[in-house]
Amino acid sequence: MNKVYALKDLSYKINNTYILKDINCNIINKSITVIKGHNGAGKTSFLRLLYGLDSPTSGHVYRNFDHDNTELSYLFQNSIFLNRSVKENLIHILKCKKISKRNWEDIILDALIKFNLAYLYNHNINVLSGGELQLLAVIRSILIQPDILFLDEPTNNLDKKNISYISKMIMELNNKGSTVIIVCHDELLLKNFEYNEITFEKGLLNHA
Amino acid sequence: MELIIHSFLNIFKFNQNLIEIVYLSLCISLAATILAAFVSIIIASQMAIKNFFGKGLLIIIVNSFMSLPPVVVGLILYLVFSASGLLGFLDLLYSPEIMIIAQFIIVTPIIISLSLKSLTDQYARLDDYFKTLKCSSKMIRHTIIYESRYDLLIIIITGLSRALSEVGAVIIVGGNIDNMTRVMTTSIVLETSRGELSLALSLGISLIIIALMMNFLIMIIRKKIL
Repeated sequence: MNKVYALKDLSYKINNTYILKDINCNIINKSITVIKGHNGAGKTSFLRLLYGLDSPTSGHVYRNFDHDNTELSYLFQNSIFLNRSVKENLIHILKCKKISKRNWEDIILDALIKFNLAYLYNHNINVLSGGELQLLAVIRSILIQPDILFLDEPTNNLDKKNISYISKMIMELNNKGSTVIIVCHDELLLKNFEYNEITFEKGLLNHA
Repeated sequence: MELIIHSFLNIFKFNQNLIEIVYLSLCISLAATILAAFVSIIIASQMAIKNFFGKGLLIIIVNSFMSLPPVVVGLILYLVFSASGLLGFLDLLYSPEIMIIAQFIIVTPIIISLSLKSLTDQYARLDDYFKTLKCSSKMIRHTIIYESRYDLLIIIITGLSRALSEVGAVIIVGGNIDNMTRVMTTSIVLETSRGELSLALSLGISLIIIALMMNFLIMIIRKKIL
């Protein structure tokens, strides 16, 4: 099986405390991988190291893809938004990805309609509820279909209906060939698809 | 009491002399502040997103320059732009242009220092977001400036207040020439020394009204933020 990530003896320390220690595992291309573990087990750190947001203290993260031609997307546990309208937040992503201005409105409206959020188009980000913000963060992460999607607790603040939307969205993306890596405990989200599981316990890999 | 009434009458009757002085003051200070804001925000945004050798020292120098005595700035500019000075051939001494330069030098460190804090905070908040989007430096700069827009506006107004109330430098390099380089602060100094307290007080009241208007503007902007 084609590995998209291979981790070799990966360790990560913050202030001399091991967050992750001697991790060896692989992420399979075009698979769904779910990372589980108790609070503080190192799940988010693991996801950040995979993406390249942080660098390991020792060991290696081997990436088996061309960085320039592979679209990566990351949904943060605490989503970061610009202090602007919903539309402008999404436009900023498209601008960064150098998408032609002609297509902006279509792409944004399509994505918002898919999640029944078209009414928020011109709303300022500050007036959105926690659930709406989380859905918007999800929309933002899939606005440009990513080849590899990182989701850190995507179901925070969401009700059953929206969790099932996201579940469907993950399956759709995976069927189109995206690799999805999720930090999640929510069985409601995970029950609908097959996945590989990585479980952490106090920074150590439990089984892979 | 009569003096105060007369001063207010000067303002409400739009005394020609008073209007000209206020107009020139606003023109010079606005020009200096706009130029300073433009340069300062470019420098501060670059400093906020880049780590380079000597950055800490540069921040200390800029912060120290915030308390630069205006009379010292005036004196240095006088020496540089006087007939025998390095840039004397430009013939700028006792002109509104040199007053703009003086106020620019006084206001720039203030705007750099205050906006650096705001821009650095925005950059820290959005750092991961920029990394995941692989944003270019130009895009990052534009974004943090836009995200700090309300803070920056307040900082620019603070700079304008500083420029308008400055007297030491402009009196040295401007020379307080009637209808040419006479601004509110230098005029207050002159009229007080001549015993023309009515006009001096009118100018003082005008200065306070402008300061109040700017603070009112800052309050509106702050309300928009909060």
